Amino acid sequence: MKKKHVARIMALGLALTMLAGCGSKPAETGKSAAEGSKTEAEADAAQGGDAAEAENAEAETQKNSGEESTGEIPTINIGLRAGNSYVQACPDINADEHVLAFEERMGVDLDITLIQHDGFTEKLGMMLAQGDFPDVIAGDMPYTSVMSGAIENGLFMPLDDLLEEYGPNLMAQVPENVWDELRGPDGHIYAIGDFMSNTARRCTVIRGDLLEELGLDIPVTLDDYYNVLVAFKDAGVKYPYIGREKFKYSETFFAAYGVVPTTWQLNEEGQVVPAYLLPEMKEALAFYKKLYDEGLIDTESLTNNGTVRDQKAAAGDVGMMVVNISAAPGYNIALKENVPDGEWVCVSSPVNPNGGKHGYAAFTPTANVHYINAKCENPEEIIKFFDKMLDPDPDLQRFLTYGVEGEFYTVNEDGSVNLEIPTVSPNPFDVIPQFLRRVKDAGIDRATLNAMAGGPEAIEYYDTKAKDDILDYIQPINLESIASHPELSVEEDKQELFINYASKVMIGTESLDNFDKFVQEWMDRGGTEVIKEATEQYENGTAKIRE
Amino acid sequence: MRKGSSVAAGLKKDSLWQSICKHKGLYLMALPGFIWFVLFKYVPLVGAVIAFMDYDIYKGIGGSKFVGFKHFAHFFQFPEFGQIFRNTAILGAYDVLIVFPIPIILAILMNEVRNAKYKKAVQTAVYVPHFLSWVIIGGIFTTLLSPNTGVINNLRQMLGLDSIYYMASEKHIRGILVIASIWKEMGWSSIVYLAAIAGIDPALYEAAEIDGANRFKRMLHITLPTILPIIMTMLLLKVGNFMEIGFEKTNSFMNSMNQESIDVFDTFVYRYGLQNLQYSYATAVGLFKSVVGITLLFVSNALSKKTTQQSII
Repeated sequence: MKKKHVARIMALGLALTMLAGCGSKPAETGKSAAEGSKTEAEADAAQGGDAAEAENAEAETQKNSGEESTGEIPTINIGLRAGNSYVQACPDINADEHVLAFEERMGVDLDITLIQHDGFTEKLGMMLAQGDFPDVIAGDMPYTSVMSGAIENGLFMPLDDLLEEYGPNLMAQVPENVWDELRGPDGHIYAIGDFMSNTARRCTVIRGDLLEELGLDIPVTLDDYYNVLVAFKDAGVKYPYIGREKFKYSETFFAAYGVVPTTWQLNEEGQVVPAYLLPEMKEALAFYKKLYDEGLIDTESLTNNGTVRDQKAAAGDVGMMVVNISAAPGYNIALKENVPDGEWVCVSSPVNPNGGKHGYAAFTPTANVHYINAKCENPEEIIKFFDKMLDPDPDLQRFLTYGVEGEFYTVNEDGSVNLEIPTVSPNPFDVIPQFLRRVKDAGIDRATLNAMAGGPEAIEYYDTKAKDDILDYIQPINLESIASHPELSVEEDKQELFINYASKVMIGTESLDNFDKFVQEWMDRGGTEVIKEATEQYENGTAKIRE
Repeated sequence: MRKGSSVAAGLKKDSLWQSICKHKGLYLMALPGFIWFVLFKYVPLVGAVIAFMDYDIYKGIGGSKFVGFKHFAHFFQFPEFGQIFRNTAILGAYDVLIVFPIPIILAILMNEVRNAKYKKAVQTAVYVPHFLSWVIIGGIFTTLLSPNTGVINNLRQMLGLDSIYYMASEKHIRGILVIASIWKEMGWSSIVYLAAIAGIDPALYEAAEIDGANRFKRMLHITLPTILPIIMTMLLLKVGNFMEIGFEKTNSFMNSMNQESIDVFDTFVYRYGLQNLQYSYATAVGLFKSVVGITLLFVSNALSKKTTQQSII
């Protein structure tokens, strides 16, 4: 009897552990949610494209004339990040019609390996560590720890000479400061990527229709902003201002004081310090606290994730928030579904009340970069492939900007394009201009935005006012002293010590008077070392300047 | 290990080889499981050695430098070490003391329900949350507890009370986690106990009924003692996982305002180790956690052996 019991218990126990095993899957889901915002940023980074002016449309038949007769088509093994929802949903990306059309047009045979979007850096690190990776692979910036390690271990090919010989368009069109970003620790160029001719990135968006209804002007000073928020509240707007978790996309009033918490700035003694340690931060936090106490900011800002915030905004309950300039038209469209007259207007950050600099943090001059495997046998074909993406031929540029003619657009007599971007999800339109067109001016996607409600206005803002609303900053790279103390980080999402302090100040569970104590704690935990190293980097020119 | 002890019980005199020859079929059937355990549970253990190294992904285990207990020392000296340890211990204790008994009670209650249709409906209803991921449950609770639009706070406002930002409250967040755990897993965890109860010989109940035992007495003197062995097994398994609060669970409820109360080893490893590619550090913390877990398991197993004669090792 007893033995039978034991056996039964064993069996049940075993069955249960197995069930538990099945149940523990959601780890991935959790992670992906945690990285949701990164996804947004990356996806946005992947957007872009220059307004390739489509001039006279050449006859279709001419397409196949050039390349093919000259010889066989080179095969390129390429590893790309699967950041695009259509690509992720595609059962076999190498057989996709858009990819095939692209290959034909570019005269190459691509063999695409997809690298998972979530946890990209970890996956990439694994691939590189095993040494078994495609001829050309998408990666992070050369100065990040994984990539610089790979470069130092000789996994990638230096590209200087190859570019000189096979990349005339690349050398001519990619700005010099971008090449500087793409150099490894030894000074050689190791990567090829997209580039931003304008590093403006985020902006404040305000409900223009509400401003008009209430007879208010576009706010300029911090006081104007405050008055607008009060007026919104009095007019019954549920969330006059809305932020997100960990102060992501919530930096309007940090920007006003020139202390965007993801940046490093010089302090009075000429040291490079995280902006969140500067005395102005105390003033900025006081302003957030005031907004919170007076109900001008969504009280749940710090628990809103991107989706929740976007839902509230689309429902018409939000008066003001922070978005990427390129995403503003998308928010417009979402808003108009519920509020037909609703409209988001892009606006610069408030003028610094102390008279200092203000603005949203500058973006990196390049974001999507690619490395060539040191073992690659035909690197020149890869350079030629990337180079061709910048070939000024209008026909080719139109293809790279809009995709296959007839699928999403038709060309008029005068060469202009009637574009109709499908609204289905996953959207196949993005495959050619974004997923496959790896080298381009990635500042803002003019072609797509122009076809959207509010798009031309966003582009107009990007080209004019946005340029004066860029906060320049210093970006120290690979700080060793911070590796063992990640809580001191300045990167978005990781500035744990600051975010925890700032959050509590805002909701009132921590006193603003303890700001100096917070700064002292940051220093005591190893911050003094960090500042020393960052300042050294700035002085010897290792640190990057973002402007 | 479990398999080993049950086999050994019957075959003390034979040598291992003899018993293998004798029960070829049985061993053959056990083989895939055995290989699985070795391959996926024991071989990776060797990798734990990177906890004592400055692991460089490009140099591998062979090329990385040994640094002894550097990462452990760094972790123990970390200002929040005490806080994380305390949070883990408190949440683990809540799991054992509060979350664990609920499915047992539920199973016993369910067993007393006579209306089959009603029983089925209740069972289905309590199983469902198990199939939701923690991320979704985190979202549901955040919505329910919202200070502006949440049901709970709307009720409070109707009663004239101030609304509370529960998700930001260090005082409430652990309780919320416990309630969420109960809600999610109570139905699913009760399956085991229901199965055990179903296996009880009805003759025992009949005999008790004839002896005049009422329903409560039968529950107390028949149901409970018969399922006690399985309760002890489940309890020991639970204690072995004492330190495993779970990354998804905690992370779905954690934010910058309540972090001090619910930051546990799992979330710490994710943020400081994996997100920042500090593999050695992450491994060291994980290893420490496992050592504590296994110690607890052995201690509680010994205690259980002494008090209830039930053990799993």
